[in-house]
Amino acid sequence: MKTYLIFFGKSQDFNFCAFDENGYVDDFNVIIKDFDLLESDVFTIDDVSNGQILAKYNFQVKAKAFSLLKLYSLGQAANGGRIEGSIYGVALLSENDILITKSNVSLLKALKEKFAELSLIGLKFSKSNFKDDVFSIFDAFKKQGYFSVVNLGDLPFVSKTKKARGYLVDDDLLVAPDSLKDEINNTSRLYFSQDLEHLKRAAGKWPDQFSIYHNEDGKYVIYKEKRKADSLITVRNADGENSISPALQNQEYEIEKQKLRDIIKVQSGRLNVLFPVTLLFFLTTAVGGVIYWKSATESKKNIGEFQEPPFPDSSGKVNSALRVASTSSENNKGYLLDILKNKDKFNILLRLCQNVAHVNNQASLTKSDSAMSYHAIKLCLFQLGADSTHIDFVQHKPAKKALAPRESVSRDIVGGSKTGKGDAQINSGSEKARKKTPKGKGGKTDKGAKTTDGEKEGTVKSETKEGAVKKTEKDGTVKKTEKEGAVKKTEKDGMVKKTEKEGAAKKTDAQSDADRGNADGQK
Amino acid sequence: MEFNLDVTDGGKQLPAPENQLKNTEFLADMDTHTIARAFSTFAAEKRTLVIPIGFPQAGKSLLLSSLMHYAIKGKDSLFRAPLEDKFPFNNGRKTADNMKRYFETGKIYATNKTGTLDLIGIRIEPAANKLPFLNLAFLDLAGEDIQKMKTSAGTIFTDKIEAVFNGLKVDDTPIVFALITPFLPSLRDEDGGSIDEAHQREDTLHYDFLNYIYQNQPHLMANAKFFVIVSQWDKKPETEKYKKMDIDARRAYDEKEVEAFIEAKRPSIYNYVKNTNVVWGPYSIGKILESPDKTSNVIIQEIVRINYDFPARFWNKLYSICTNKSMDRKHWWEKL
Repeated sequence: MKTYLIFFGKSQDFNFCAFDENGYVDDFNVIIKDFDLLESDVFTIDDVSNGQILAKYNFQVKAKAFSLLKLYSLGQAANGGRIEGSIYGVALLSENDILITKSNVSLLKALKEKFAELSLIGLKFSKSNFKDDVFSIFDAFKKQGYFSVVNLGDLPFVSKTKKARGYLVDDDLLVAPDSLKDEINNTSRLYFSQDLEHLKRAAGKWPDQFSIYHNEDGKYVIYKEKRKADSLITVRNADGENSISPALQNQEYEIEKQKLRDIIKVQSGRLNVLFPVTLLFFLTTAVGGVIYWKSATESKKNIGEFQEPPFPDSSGKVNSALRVASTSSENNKGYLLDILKNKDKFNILLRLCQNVAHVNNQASLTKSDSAMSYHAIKLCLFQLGADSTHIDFVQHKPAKKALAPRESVSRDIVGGSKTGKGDAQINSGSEKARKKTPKGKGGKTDKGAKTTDGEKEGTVKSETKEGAVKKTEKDGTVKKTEKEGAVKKTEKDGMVKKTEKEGAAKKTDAQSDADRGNADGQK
Repeated sequence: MEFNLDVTDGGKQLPAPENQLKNTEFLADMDTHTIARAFSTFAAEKRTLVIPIGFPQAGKSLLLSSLMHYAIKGKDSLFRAPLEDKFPFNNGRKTADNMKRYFETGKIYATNKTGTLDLIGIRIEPAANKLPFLNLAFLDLAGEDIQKMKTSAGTIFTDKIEAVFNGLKVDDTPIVFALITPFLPSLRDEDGGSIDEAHQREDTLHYDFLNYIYQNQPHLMANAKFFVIVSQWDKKPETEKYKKMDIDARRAYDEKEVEAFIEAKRPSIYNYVKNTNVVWGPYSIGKILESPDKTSNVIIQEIVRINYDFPARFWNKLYSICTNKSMDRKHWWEKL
């Protein structure tokens, strides 16, 4: 079982000098033909700031297993200016497994330092041929009897996979702890480095071939980039902004999403019953003055049980609305009534609704609207001091006719927050009116708003607004339809064009082949 | 007697040979037979293989970086160039992406390690409708492996490169050898500081290569075309007259200059190819800024001006050599 000492580097061309116990190996092809493992495909030098790299390969050549332990770093060619891939280093190669021990690593370090001392100035080779220098190092190595010092194991185990692993190691030890023994035995290409950024660049370039491991509580596990702490989801409105804590986003998000899915699944069954009942309820509220007052009072009570989604999504997506789980929590019901009585708290609740609407309009957000709304609601309820564990979601599919153009909705919200005392009522009035508007009775519905505590002026404003909304909606609908038609038309045209193009492409292909044939013929 | 010729493995259908080849490993890590098989399908795909040939640091990988950058992101290019990403081009695709990324950030792409076989598949789709598509593959090798075929080094390629040639021979795949020789070759200890010695060394390498192909791979020679490219043309001092020239005048001037350069500095190559179907031309990836770092004693290079004219010329020429058609066709009124 022979062990070889190899010096390698890109002094000009890449070159290496190998020695066994007898001396210089003149033709290394006799031992391993076209030996090309001293440089690395994946984890190689790519910057002047790179630290040194320890690597271990177990490999097989013509049914014979070998083990290689190499220590290398940047060494620029004597007459060259390239950094990337420019290396120099020292390696031990054996038919036995070369162990990663402190002794072996120290030996490689001492050899590499001597090599650098003789053949490099700084990080640049001082000559294009380092053969003479390494002969003197080998002589000293042999004289000291260091071949017998190399820590060797049994026959090297060669893993079938050639995927590489990069280990982020601490300090300058570059020694794998005992916990890594199994990994070393089962992976054929291992790299150890202290430079996390360098490892990350290599993994970025070769995601299929290279993965990073780091020490976490004494065990080496796959390194995962931590999410940035500054990626707060901020819900803005006209008055200010609220942030959802990153902890809620990152850790609880997945759990909450799953919970939400489950809830939606369960509640979607109830929705079919709840929605017609609600619709009927609002129709009743529109009947008359005194009766309305009573029904309005009744509706306030009922809010504890069910509240319509305040701002349905105009895209027709499934929306979620806040629902206080009346069956499970009487406390929250009472609490909500308390909110309705308290002006300040009511304003906060109103802002919550605005937040929800605002979040619903954030098309660019990656998380689903319903989940975002949920978080906004949770946050606001947290501010109110309510126990958010009793908040459930009701999936709500707004009737197509009830869809209001998004633009008019947001205009309402901003307008609502700007006015003073009666704003809440005005908004809630116009909200109800909006729900009625598609039926063509929006104006009448506003009478309901008149009967509330809101100022008359406000009510009139609300009426005017409503009319505008109605018109906009109508126009919007028409426009939308027209647009859709246009889109369809374009798509159709696109298809035709595409088909034509495809035809053309096919033609081109055929023509190409013909042309190619002609070309060949000409040749 | 009953013979059981079951070709399933535990109920599973055995994979087709082509599926067995689909692998995320580097082509260079595979056995020579697999490598040869990967190249044996090129003729059936009507694919031309381009192999840059040159010493270490001649600029093979940089030439490819520049070409890939232009093909993918080139302004006003006359073609579209989708990259192949299926085996055997899967890792070459990543290499091409890395080359492009390095190039556009001004970084010099890493030198190839010995034993490298980076295979990049690309399809040239000219903008002009009537022109045929061209399937190409670029094979990037390490200069250290190429120079092993020098007569002084034993005139033998590595087993992997031999496997490539064996695969290409199966169906007489068309091949383009791009002989890359730098305008100013780097000096070595044995040159004794003489640049003429370095030029001489370059000339010998390419002559030995041409001779090797002629003697040992006559099948390849029959289907081969040659480009002689003088790289690092930006190192040639620009005269005042040259600076004032427009792009067409510069092209004409460069063509004359490069022929004179090859005749004077690479006489063996010139004599070998002067009466054959060969294309020669200069090449520059752009302007490189070099700054010495005093603490580490290394030189740091950065591409500060990307040249788009040379890659455009190369692509057009390569297309016309392979298809006998020009992408840069001018209408009769433009020719007037």
